[in-house]
Amino acid sequence: MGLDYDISTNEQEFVLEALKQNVRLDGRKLLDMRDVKISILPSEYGHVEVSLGKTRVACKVSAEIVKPYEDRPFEGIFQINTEISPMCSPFFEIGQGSSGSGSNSRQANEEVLISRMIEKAVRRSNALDIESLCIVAGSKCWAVRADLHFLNYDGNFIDASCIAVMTALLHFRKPDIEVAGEEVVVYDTNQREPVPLSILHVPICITFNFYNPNGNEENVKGELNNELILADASLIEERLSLGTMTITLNKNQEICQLLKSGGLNIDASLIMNCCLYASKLVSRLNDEIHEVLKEDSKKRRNVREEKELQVFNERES
Amino acid sequence: MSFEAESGFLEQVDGSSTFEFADTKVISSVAGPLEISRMKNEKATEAFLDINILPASGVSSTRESLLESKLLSILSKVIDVSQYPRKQIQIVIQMVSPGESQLYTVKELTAIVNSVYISLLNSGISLQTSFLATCCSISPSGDIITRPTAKQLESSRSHTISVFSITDAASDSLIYSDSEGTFTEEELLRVLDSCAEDIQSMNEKVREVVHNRVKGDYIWHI
Amino acid sequence: MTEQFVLPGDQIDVSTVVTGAAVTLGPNVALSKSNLEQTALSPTTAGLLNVKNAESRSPVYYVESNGRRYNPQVNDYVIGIIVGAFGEYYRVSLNSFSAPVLLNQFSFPNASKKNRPRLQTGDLIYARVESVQRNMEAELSCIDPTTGKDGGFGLLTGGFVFDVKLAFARYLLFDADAKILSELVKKCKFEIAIGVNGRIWIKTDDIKTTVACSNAIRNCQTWKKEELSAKVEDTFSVLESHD
Repeated sequence: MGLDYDISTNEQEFVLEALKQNVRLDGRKLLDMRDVKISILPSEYGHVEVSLGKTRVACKVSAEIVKPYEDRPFEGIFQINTEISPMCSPFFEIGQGSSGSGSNSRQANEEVLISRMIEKAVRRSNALDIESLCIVAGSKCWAVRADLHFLNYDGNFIDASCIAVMTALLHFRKPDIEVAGEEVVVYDTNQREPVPLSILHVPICITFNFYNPNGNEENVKGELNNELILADASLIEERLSLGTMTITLNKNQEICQLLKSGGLNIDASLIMNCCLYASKLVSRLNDEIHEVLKEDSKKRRNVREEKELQVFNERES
Repeated sequence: MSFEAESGFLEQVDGSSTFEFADTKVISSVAGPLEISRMKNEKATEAFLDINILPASGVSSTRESLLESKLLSILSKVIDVSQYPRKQIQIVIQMVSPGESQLYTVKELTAIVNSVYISLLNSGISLQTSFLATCCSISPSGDIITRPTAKQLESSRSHTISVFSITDAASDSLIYSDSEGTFTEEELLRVLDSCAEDIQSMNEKVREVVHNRVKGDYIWHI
Repeated sequence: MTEQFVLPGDQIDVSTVVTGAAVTLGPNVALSKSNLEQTALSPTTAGLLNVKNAESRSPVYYVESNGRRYNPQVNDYVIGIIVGAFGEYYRVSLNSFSAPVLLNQFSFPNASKKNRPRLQTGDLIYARVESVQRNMEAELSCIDPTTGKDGGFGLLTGGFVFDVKLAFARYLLFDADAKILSELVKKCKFEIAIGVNGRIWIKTDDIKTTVACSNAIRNCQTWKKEELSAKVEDTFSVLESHD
């Protein structure tokens, strides 16, 4: 048994009534996304914090050299760790979810859903080229892992974590190596410029939530089709929604993944509309990610140049 | 050596803070007193402290369990657990950067204790006293270094973490101390003295951080 | 009234207390355990020390602190959500994730075996904390003890409910010149119930005004007094310009 949010009937009715009138509690329109803030921690490579309104997620990427899996000698290893702690909300419990002891509570399901989504969106869509992580076939490869830290919960963890993982992967640099036969030399980051990972494309998740203003029963009969569609739900909107759909797209407008859950029946044409709308959001988010990365590399280059100049000056004097 | 701390930035928990010094950084959150979520944890006369430490990368291991049990022994002395019978207090610590090699836990524990202290004040949970932690290492030549860097720690002969209670802005009594390595009795006493001194100097800034938080909480009133 | 910032472990100066006076320990103040030789007070959390009736024979010491989680105290006015029923009691939640408190089905005016309110899970009620005992769940009541009538307590229908921090809720309820409320009065007509457990229920004539009011009250916690009027204006104009 886990703890749950207590939401009164008054609130539920009010939020639905407001949505019917195209009003959301934070003043957004139904399909507006909250402001995305991506910040890269200056101290290291591949540590990114993303906030989507009040939802906050951090992602830390790390790499080490290990032995590859027996059955996949030419591939590196890529793991994503999505353990949700009660830090983001007492709603989530520790030690449940995918790695936990098979509890059946709603919270556990929620956590499993989030980790599977990220897994499918990033790992299974081959966003990271794992063949490029192979160093010596069958004996040495890079194991890259992305650890997600969920800090504050205000709905829509999936979209925020996907942005965090992708930005962190794009930003991460692994130490340069040199291979001579079976011997591998790993260079310190001070000796040689570390190298970026090979990222094949940047998938981004967009989540929609569905509501039926006329109740569930009308939906099954399906005569009116005036379901409400929301993008980027906040905590209370997410708790009240009757169905969700997450679309993962990249900037080439390719759908990597689409998951519709929650049971509310939706017209196929509406899903097409969602996809088109999502592709617009994705290209905007994609630009934002690259903008942040560019800013960051500018900052980092300055530090390096300064260091070189300093050495040069010291030599002069 | 300086440190950075911030408090009260998470919305869904009752108290939160970060603490950062010499490349070690943690975030902690406190929520409570909450309803017990698992019956087996219920204690009839006091609160159950649910402590979870999450590593920066990878999944929790025995290393985190060790830190959790050390932290529990410190916190059960300072939190007034008898105030909250049959409730639980949830304390979560997310490591952001360990700032020391896997072989050591001393710097992490120092940052964790200090961060949890600030989070507890932010949450309003009853405390018996104020407290802070600091760590020292003894270099091979016998010098005492307070709050060492990762390198200084690795070249040291021994290291100690100590937690002191604070009464009227001065280090008062020793709550917890844990040392590893070789040292003489005289050295240990010297280390404890410099820890007490360091805590007293840290307290000033921590007090300011907490005071600013309280001011921020009452901004509509001023 | 003094407002000094204190932390646990600080000794509260009680030397000004007149001899023979009975000191009352208010919220967040406890007898210091570090100093057993003499009576000393110490705060249990960080906050602002307040002393009431300092000169009299019954001074009260308490520490103001702005938390999120409510601890039931007798005679507090609270807003609760019915989360269940057992026997003749309802289980009521005062904060999400906190242990629920009890509300007797007979703690309503004129309630009898045959005539008692039928509350559903999810209903909102405005009530008074009737009893708090250390080893038992706290109990609420919807009867005004002075008149025996409802006195404004009972089921809250319609409207919207949201959370604020505890000290802010106390300020709204007890401070007659809470500026935010007088600003809102200028903008619209509304009905409000304030629970010191940090919940506020508000009802206006239409949805948009309710959203604007709730956002204004909620966000007001981070506004300074002098910028309040302008920000309230902003909050309302954003929603009006919406479509």
